[in-house]
Amino acid sequence: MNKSHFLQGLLLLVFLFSVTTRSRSQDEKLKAIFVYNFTKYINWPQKPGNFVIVVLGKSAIYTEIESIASKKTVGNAAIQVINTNSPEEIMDSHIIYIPASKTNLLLSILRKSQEQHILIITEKEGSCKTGSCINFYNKDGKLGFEISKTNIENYGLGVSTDLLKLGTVIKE
Amino acid sequence: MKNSKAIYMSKLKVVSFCFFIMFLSAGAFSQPDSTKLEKMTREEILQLSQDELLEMSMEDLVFLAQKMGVSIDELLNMKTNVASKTSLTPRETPGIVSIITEEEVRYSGARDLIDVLRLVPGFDFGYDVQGVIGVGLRGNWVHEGKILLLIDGQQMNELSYYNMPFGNHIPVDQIKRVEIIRGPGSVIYGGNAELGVINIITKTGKDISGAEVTGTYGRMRKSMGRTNLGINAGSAFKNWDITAKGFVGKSNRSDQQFIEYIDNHDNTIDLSEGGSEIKTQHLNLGASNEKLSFRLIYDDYKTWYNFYADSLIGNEGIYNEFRSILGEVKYDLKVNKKLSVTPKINYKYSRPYFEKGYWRNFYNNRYQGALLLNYQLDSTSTLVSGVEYLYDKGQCIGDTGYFYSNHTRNITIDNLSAFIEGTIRLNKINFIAGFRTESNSIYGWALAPRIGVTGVFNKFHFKALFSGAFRSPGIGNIDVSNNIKPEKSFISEVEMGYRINDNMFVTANIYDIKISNSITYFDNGGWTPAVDWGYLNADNAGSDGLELEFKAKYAKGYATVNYSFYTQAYRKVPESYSVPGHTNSALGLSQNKIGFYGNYMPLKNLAISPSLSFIGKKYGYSHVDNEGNSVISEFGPYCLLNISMTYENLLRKGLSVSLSAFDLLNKNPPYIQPYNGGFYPYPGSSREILLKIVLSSEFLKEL
Repeated sequence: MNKSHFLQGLLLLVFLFSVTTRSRSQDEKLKAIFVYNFTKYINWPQKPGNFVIVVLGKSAIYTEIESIASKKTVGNAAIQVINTNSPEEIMDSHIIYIPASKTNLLLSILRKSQEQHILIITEKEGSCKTGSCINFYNKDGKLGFEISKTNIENYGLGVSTDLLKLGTVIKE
Repeated sequence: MKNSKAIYMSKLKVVSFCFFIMFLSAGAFSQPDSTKLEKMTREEILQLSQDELLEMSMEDLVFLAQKMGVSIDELLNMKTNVASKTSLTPRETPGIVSIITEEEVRYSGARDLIDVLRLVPGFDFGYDVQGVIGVGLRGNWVHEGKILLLIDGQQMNELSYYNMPFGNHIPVDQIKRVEIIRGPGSVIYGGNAELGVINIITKTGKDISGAEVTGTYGRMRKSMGRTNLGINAGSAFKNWDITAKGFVGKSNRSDQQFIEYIDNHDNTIDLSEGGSEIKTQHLNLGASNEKLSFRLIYDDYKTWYNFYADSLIGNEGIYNEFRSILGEVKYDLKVNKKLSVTPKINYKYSRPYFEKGYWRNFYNNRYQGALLLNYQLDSTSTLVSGVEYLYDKGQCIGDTGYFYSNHTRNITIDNLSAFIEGTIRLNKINFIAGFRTESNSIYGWALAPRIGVTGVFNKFHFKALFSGAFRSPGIGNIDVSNNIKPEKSFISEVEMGYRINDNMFVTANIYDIKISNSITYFDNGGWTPAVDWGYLNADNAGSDGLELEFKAKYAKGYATVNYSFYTQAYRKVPESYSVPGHTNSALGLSQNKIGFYGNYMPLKNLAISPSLSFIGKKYGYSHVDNEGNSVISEFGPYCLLNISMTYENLLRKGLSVSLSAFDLLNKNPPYIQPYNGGFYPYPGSSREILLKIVLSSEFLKEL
């Protein structure tokens, strides 16, 4: 075995023994933290039990929110995170997070969630115009959120003016 | 005696001046410190953990989320240490710097460091000897020990002449960032950084977080271009960051015809049939925690050449091999909030220009120790100083060799150096002053002072820099010289820049390089070393010029356009480097260069990256006439057009595929010898199509 083959073999061994995970995208991490922070600025009517956040479909934000749920509470309530593909499971939740890939479910969720006091968060441009309460956007890599006071109040929720100052308010 | 007293007094004045500036700053001036968040770079924001983000207020999160966006500030606010021991942004740092990011290297499809440096103003490449391609900068042939190449802080230049061969050498897939000083660096780095510094920072364990394998295959029109394999592995484990990065490569420099002339004898070699092979092996191991760091680099680079040997010796050809082993142990000790002390020890083995069977091969060992002090006087003033000692020993290999200069089998050098540099921030202006002095057992004293002012006023910035620098003669120079002394230079630079908006930035600079005691190769045709051929301190040299650069960066892509120009009209250049009748131009190096590189992402995972170098005409020795005299001809201008397409996360996360074409117009630019060394221009590669596949551990995770 010459030196070149030895080096190649050594490098391959290093590769095979060093498989670990990469860090999750910072975008999803920040969105999850925003979602948690929104709970400090939104008022829900008293509901007994856990504070429930539903994430629709496969999204990295689910694991991020779950990680926060293991460390934080909303008031005294523990945070429960549900990952589902079925809009039927959203009824007792406080927040529904609809990733961009599931935006097609927004209208059916809107119909089901009326009178349910649920904060709907989306990540598709124009979603606040079609009923979303808070919508994440990304422009040139800058993460921000649009917020609709009207939609939030239509779902029977209250919103702090401090939060309205931090987002882009979408008016009807 | 009187003279040495005057030198001593002059040095004392410089020291006193530096201390005066340090203490002036020690409390008399202050500026309000902006918040930590405002100073954070995008890279730092991306590294924040969930726990750190959870501790922040909503206002801070909104601020960070906006700052995370793509803007030119990502580049402008990047902290760099390349031109100063104090961390400063590229607009503040006391040097004319270029920074090439990992993203730019990756998307450009760069085959090697030549492709990367061609994107930078002022850089050009030429042919040296024995199959070696070297670098020119700002109209000066800096290959001869005047530009320092660092990898993770390790000085890679070989230890005989302090040269660095280019071409499928340094693995580009290990690069996290390339920081380049296009001017002097002696005050920080000593005698191998007279006219430039290329500082390569490779990926950390945290960057890699697992492993990645890169396979590259390139095909020129008539022969294989390159077959490379690189593996990067690394992880952040507890407090440690551990990396192992390796590369093995085989390539052909050219597939064109090469014509040599030695003693009126023409010889044509078709390189598509072999004769320009390069073999590379490179291993970089690192481990570090907050205080302690280890580095070990093994580098072996062989370049085949058969022309010179063919004519004179009658051989089939031979490998010219450069082998280096470098090691470092460093400890960063924070004594208190203001003072940190860094002791470090280095070892370097260098066996350059090794040819099997040659009667006079030699290798060099370097043992080095240094102690660096960083003292933060207050929020506006920093004082950095240090002492370094190195011991070089050149040793002949085998029984036949000896050094010409002392007729023994070894040459040793003791070198003691000390440096001090102070940085004072007065409101928006930075004052930088410092110097480095060296005492060398062979050539005596050398001094590199520097004074600079830089200022950033919102959108506008300026720099005015005045630096002394020097080039130390290496063991290879000392071997064939009588009383060789360091080459000295004085460089003046002025830069101005303007941030047009969030996404665009423009900068312009002018420079004046004045070299004295130029270390120059001479050959009068005789056979006696140091008398008929060798190195001497010749006439003055240098250049004057300007460089312009425009940069734009958006989420969908980025673009950089630059222009560089030099003239030697105001400098008396050694005859060997000059072009008779064209006093503006240096031999082998183009006076004008336009560079463009960009990237457009039509899809989230698809990057299309064109690049272009327009190289103005050059002059070089092209052939010998009937009387045996070397004849200078004009070459070019030519345009190198390249395009690279990269698709990331193909099929699943962790698989990336690039398809690139280099020299689409098939101009085959030659490498011209930038001095009268007796060689025709060495042909470059023809159009090369390159396929690169990168597979990371994420791919396996998803299986």
